Amino acid sequence: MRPKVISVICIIGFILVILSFPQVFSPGIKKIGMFTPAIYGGIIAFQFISFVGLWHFKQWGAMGFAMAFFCKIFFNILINETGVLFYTYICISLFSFIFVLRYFRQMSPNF
Amino acid sequence: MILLLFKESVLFAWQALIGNKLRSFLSLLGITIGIFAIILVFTIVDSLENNIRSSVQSLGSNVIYVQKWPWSFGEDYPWWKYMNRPLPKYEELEELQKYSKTTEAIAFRMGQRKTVKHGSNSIERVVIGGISQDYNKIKSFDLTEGRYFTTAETDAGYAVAIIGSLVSEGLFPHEDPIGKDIKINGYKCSVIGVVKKEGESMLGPSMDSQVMVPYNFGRRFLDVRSENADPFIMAKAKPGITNVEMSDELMGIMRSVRRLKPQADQNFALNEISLLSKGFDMMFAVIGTAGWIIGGFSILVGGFGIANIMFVSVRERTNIIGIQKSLGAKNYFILIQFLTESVLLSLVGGAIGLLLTYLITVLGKDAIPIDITLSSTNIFLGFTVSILIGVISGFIPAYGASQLDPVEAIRSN
Repeated sequence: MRPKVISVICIIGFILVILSFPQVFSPGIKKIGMFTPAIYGGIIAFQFISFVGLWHFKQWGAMGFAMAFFCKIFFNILINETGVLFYTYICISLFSFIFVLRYFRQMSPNF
Repeated sequence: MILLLFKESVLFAWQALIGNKLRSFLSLLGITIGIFAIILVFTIVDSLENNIRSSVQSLGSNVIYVQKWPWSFGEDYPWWKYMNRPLPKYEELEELQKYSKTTEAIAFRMGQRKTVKHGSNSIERVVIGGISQDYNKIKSFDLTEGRYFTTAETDAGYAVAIIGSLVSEGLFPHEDPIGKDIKINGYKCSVIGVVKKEGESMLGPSMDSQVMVPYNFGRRFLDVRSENADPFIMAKAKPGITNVEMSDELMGIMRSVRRLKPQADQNFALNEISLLSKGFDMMFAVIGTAGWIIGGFSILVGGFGIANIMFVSVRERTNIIGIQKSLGAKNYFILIQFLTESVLLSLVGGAIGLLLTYLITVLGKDAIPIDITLSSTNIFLGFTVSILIGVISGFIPAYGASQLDPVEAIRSN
């Protein structure tokens, strides 16, 4: 049974992923390089898949969530996109991590 | 093993798509329209941007224009202040050339539209540019035939002309124009050079449809006091000299040439290409963002369409999934099978969208004078977005299918 807090994290995550998807082909990202939209899109897709895993209360979802978080931070630093939204994202993600880690042992280790 | 699995998934997906042609077509229509909209906007914006950038580049980034009117893209443009300013004069060019230390070359140019004739052929409203000697050191252009003006020709105002490629084709369709005479406003002059074709320019008339004559010859039939002639002086900085340094020096010389008191406002403008570039950057950022928002959300809607159809597909094939699982198919095989189907659906939609964009660019070539090309970057972006939307919209139904209990799945209708 999935705790409510994880459901809330997942719903917020889904909405944010869907809203950030059009950013993949934003002129700003496109201008950096030919492969940048593909890399950024890959991270977004990976983040979405992680939230699906988390929604199904799977350990791979939690691990994917952490990996996608670090990938996104690394990518944003690489392209020098470190504005207010970036720090807000870090704060929300770190806050979510506390709950994800709290329930990690209860999650299913199977795929 | 992986390749075999992938091949099998593609075959399954293809059969599913072919089996429901109308449904597949309708569900990929959203992606097609989304990819078409966004890639077409990007293609047009990129092409316009490239055209303007190359036009700006041909003017030179280290060039300052001394003109009556300042270039501005802002809302506040106090035009009434500039109305009574005097036009730049050829004599001011000579003063600038005499006193300037920071410039590599300074040139004067003015232009008016006149009818040009050769025998029975004539072209109306051709831009006749009256230029000074160093014009070619600032404005970059190549000659396919002939040569540039000599100092003696420009100083003495010889009746010679360098013509653009379109003028050459129009006046001399079947002969070599070099050494032939043309008539500009009744004044006969000899063609000494033809400018290499450079295509349409977004910044004013292209060199292809112009005729250049020495200023001292051109002043006979060009109205040097007319605002329509848009006379201006252009100065190119020496290597290592910044535009700011050159601008400061030009300002000082121009103020002393025009005898302006220290407190008096400037009665000339020093325009830089960077002003144009900034204006265009702003414009393209707005167009790009508008295209991105429109295309982005239409792709998102297309993604929802694919997700919906994938849910239907899983529901329809639940018993087949049950049979596959009972025969030993792993969860990941079912997942990949459905994910491949959604990615394939999305890819086909994206490919059709790209094809439509390509057709528009090909058909538009005759209608629009600017070269609009579907770049490899935009093709790559189109396919990338298609794959991503396929993965995102297909993952939830595919994962749901992979988690089905085989016994219950077989039992379902």
